[in-house]
Amino acid sequence: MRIVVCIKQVPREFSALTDSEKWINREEVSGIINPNDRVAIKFALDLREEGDEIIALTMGPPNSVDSLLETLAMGVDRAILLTDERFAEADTLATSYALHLAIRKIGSVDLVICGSRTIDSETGHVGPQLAEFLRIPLLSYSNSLTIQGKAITVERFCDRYHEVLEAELPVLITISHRCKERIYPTLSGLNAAFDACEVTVWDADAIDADISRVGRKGSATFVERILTPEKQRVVTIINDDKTERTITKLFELLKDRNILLLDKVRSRRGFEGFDI
Amino acid sequence: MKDLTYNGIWIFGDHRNYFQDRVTLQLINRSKELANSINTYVGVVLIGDTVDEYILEYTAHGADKIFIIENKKLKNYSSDLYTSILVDLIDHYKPEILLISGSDFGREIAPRIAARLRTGISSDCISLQINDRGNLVQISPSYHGNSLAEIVTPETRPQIATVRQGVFNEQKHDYHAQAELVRVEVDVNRYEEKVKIRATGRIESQDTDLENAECVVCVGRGYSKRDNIRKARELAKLMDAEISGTRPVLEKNLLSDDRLIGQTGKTVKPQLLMVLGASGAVQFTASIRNSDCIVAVNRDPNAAIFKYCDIGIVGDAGSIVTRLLKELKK
Repeated sequence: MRIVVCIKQVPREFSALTDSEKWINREEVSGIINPNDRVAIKFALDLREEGDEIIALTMGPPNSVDSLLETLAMGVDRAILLTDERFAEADTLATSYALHLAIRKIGSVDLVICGSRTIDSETGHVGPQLAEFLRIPLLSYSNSLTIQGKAITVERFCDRYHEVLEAELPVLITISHRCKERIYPTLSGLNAAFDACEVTVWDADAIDADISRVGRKGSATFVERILTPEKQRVVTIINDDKTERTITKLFELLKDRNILLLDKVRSRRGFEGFDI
Repeated sequence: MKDLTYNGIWIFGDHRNYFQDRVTLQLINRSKELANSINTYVGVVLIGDTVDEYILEYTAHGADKIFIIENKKLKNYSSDLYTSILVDLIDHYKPEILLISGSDFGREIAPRIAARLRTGISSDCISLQINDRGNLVQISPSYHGNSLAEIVTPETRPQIATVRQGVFNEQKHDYHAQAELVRVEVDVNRYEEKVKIRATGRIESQDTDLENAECVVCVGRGYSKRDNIRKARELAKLMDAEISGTRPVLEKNLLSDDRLIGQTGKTVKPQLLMVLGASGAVQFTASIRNSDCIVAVNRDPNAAIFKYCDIGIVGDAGSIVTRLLKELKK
């Protein structure tokens, strides 16, 4: 089986660092692998059987190579970077278009795995849109899966429903945000991967892209303006060394707003007989 | 050039969790305001096996037209079938705007429809407006961190956006309201259902009902040690509040997923919201902005959260909570 895992390198400042990640030399890494994509890679590696091939694919600026090298250090077999100035400023439609051409070029792909959402933009669009371009079944929010021959069964939660879905390979799955088991490389694996530095780089010509459909040109949406959310509230700041005074002030301010927290709690407690 | 043959604001009638998920009704209300400014109608697309009840509801909540696709084979919410049916209806009726609830299902079909029609889509909008060119301005926090983006789809149609629960208000029932009902016959067998639904069942859930809570305590990354969470729970219990957290805290598995406030979680509007140790990323602040009174505690006087609260306490959340517990227990 050939599995492609789509990942994205996202800016570090959005991430919640986990303890196991702390030892990575942050100076050397300009971005990080989107946390949910680590879960996707883990899914792929757990599925691997003798003879299977796992390929990590990303589209992004040249420095995304760092994240791809990290996937190689985790045990991924091949890594492909789509990078080209003409890909820049792509919305999810143009991104999915380019990714689907890369997957076509890879060829004979049985399973495409995407994380749930990226932490920088959080649209969750690329998985479903990529499945559309590839014209393969989409299994979203996958919680767990089993594959038997060509049949894939996925168990998922969708809104308030628990579902079991079935389709025939090749398919695209997106991983549920409920799955949180991420994978991290070992230090020696990381060193070896960075030394070997074996990442395939493709530009728009390599995937035979219609230039009018990639990057800004190929995007249907445009960001007209970036707004800083305006301040709508009158903020009162309490900055007092004494915690006791702070709390007194807080209760006063709440009382001014007709929120009688203390009274409410006490009356309730009176009612319940000090049972808290 | 904008294609003038497109007309109408459409809303996907997401009725599967009708009593909990009110986005469709909220979208009808907002769309009526938008429709006035571009001189068009508001249509709801209603797909399902028995939908009479929802025809009444959507009519009473202000829809001008309801497109009804009723078929025994549409009992389950099938992403394949719903996507294909909506795409065909859009091809035929050419609405200029399509608004979809930001439910899991809505977020699954919306990007598929956009890709198939090769048009633009934005997600999790917190505001929708019409600009002077008559385009839909989709204001979404989903763009590079601490800012909001005004997104437009200038050329392709329809303009598609998903919107989360609680962003707009629904209009009150008006059982005298009338809507034009358009029953559309669809040959469901014509569509390929690549994904088979082998089992589906509603989870009778342990609802937290964060969305409707009057009082909420929310922990952020700066107050997310196990002991912190325990104290925050104790505080919430005393205050008769719901406990919740921001995403970095949920990532640590210290609270269950249904306790998430933020772009991929819930939007809250309590009378009192206590935010402990959250920095105030826009994905979070956008989801709390309808709260009456926000009290934020953070050690960093420059934390963004201090711009989006009513009462900001500069200090260590640990000692503040400890003291607060002591006072409340007096």
